[in-house]
Amino acid sequence: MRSGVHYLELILYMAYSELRAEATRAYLGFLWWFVEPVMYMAVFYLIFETGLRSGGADYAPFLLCGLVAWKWFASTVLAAANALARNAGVMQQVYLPKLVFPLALTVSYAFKFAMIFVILLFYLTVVAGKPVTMAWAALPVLLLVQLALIVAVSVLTASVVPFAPDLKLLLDNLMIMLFFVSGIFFDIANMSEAIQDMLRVNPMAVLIESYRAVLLHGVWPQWDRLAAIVAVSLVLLGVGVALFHKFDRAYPKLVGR
Amino acid sequence: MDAVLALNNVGVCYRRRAGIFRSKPFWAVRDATFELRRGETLGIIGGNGAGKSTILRVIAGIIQPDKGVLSKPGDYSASLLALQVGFVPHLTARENIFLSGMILGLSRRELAERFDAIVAFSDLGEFIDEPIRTYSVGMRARLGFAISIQADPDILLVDEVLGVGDAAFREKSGAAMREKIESNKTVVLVSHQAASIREFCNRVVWIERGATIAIGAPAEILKRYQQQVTAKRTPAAPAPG
Repeated sequence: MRSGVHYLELILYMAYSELRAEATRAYLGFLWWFVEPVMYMAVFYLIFETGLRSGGADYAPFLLCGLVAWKWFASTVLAAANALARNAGVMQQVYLPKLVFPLALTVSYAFKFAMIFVILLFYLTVVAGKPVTMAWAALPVLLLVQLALIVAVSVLTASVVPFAPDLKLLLDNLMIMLFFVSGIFFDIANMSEAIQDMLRVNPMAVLIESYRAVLLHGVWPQWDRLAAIVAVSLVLLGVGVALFHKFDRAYPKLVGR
Repeated sequence: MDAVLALNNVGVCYRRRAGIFRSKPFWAVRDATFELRRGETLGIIGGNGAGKSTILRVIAGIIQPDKGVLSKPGDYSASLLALQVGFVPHLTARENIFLSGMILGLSRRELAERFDAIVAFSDLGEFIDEPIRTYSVGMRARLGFAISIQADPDILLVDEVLGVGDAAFREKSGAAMREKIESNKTVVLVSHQAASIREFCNRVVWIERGATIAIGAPAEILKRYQQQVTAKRTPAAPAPG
């Protein structure tokens, strides 16, 4: 058994390898990290801005804040569903704490998100002319809260899917549903009180509202709601880690083969 | 001689899906009982699907037995000689050395120190910074072996990998394996080849359909094993378990 430091090193190197491999695989290389999300956002922008005409004057920045935060969450969690299956070969040959696989994945996806986030900030300030306010100081906190949520949901997803691979199909549809109720292309505050409370049970809805409060309106996010997300994340993470601990030497039998 | 590891009635059960909400248990290993002594080379023989590789995985701590006990007095490390583990085709040999080596449990620093030795052993020369997807099968095998041989567990588990790559490298890798096996290291060797079992092993365990049939000196066990194989072969083709 190796020490925690070794596994941390391994997680980081696996994340680096994943990014390196992605960058060398396609002709456009690492440019895809930008091109792909920009295309993704352009699709929604075209649909909602010119097609459905549901937006107002300031709709593009509003939409992009939601999409960027959502994409980080959704892409990581969906990838986490395959975290163990993808590494079935390694798991059959070497003992490793299986937790390293979803964690390495969250690191590489966080890195890719960071790139997009920088572009978003550039767009908001330079193109959309949003002022940088005091409230931006809350951004690191927001990012950390979202990271906690993503790590927790990813670890839990990765720990459960090997038992019933069908869950992946369920997860795909759950994500589509969540996408529509997270307030990405509409403002939750415009709904009736009862609906608002319901929608805000979804942590991603709260996070997206918080990003908008900070980036678009220069006001502080609602700290109590963020604290609740952290609390929920810790519980989910606890469950996921406990499952990984309990089934660490059973997963190799469940995946592959 | 004292045991570094003992299996007692060990069984491993896989669940095979058999329809919605139903699964059939399949015991890959039913009743494996033997011990491994310090410094010895223990051979495991048996037909296809006898459960030899599953037993190695139990010893390596990769999977947990579903019945029986695996005891490890002294808590020695045991791992498989795993070739090309975690290799990513789009990465260079240099990057794969670190990735694969760290997966095998070597630290980044250890790998940096042994880097030149690994490169020299694998004989890749100027190709070291090329992505390994451009490599031939032989080159990849050489690189895989050069990395794996660096891992140095207390108990080395070998599954049929005596000699990989082309003829010249097979000799080189075979020599490196021989050196490991003939040193005082404790080794478990799974092989179909009677010759390598006879050459390397102090004792042999014969496993069939997941259970220990016999344990003893290589000459004696191999004789009985081969008698059974020929006896089986004459009437009808044996069903692979």
